[in-house]
Amino acid sequence: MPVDITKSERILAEVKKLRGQGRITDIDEEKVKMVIFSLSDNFYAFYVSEVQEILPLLKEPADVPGMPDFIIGIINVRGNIESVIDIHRFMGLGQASNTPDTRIIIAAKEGIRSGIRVDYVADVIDIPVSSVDPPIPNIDESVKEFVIGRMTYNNQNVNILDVGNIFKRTTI
Amino acid sequence: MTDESDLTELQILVFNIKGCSMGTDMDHIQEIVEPDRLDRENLQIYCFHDGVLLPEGKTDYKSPMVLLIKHQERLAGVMVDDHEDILTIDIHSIYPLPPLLEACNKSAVWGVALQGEKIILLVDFCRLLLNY
Repeated sequence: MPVDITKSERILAEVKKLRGQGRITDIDEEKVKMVIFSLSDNFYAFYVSEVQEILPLLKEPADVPGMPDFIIGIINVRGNIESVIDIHRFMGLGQASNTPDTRIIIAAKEGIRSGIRVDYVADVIDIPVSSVDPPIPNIDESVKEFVIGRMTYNNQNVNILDVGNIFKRTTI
Repeated sequence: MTDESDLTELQILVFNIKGCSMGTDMDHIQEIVEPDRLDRENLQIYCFHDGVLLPEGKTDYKSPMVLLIKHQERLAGVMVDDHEDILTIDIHSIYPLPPLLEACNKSAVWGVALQGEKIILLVDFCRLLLNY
């Protein structure tokens, strides 16, 4: 019986491709969970360990006078008052408009917690730690200080943002 | 003299401005007067809108009222709009501003009261007078 080389080669090629995308990983490889979200048609990510929940934007946050323009206001989350940051304005990405897909990511780090408004949440995925790379050197200046790494999602580059750096910068 | 630890409730006057519900301690208010019935001479009247650093832009007062505030022997009027209610709130329904806002806060807003789903920003009118 002739050996079906073509088929095995095809399978091997597919496996290599999937491994290259991080969709197949060694069983023992350490993984991290990421929340992938979109801002102005680019993907960004937070470590899930820094995310507490993801909420739909059911109504406009209550405006708090005297705040910087990147603070949209406050929301009531089951009896907890949370601030909401407009990350578009904060990172100089322009102004965002609310759509049914708009989400508020409640993130926390180093004792500070706040909501962060994003265009939409694309995915929550596990990736191998080894597939997190350092930030690209020629990254946009406006986001550089918040980017702590990069990864690939659906063949697109994703900048991983540090919640702690964002919170620190908002309070300066 | 009231022992601060005995405080269990706060009576607030709730009013609206630019879609925000604001509340202020009734203890700070000496009188509530319609602007055209003010008969005190040399009384300084301030616009609430300016004192809490609301975004620039013209504010159209629908039903203005002047709150007479006495603080450290100083009597001043603060004009607010659209006052809707006087509420007694349990101090347990009061929340501090979230940490990020606390760090950025330059206004006289000091806390948040929840009435069901409604968010009321609490404004310290004595602090407000210091801003003018």
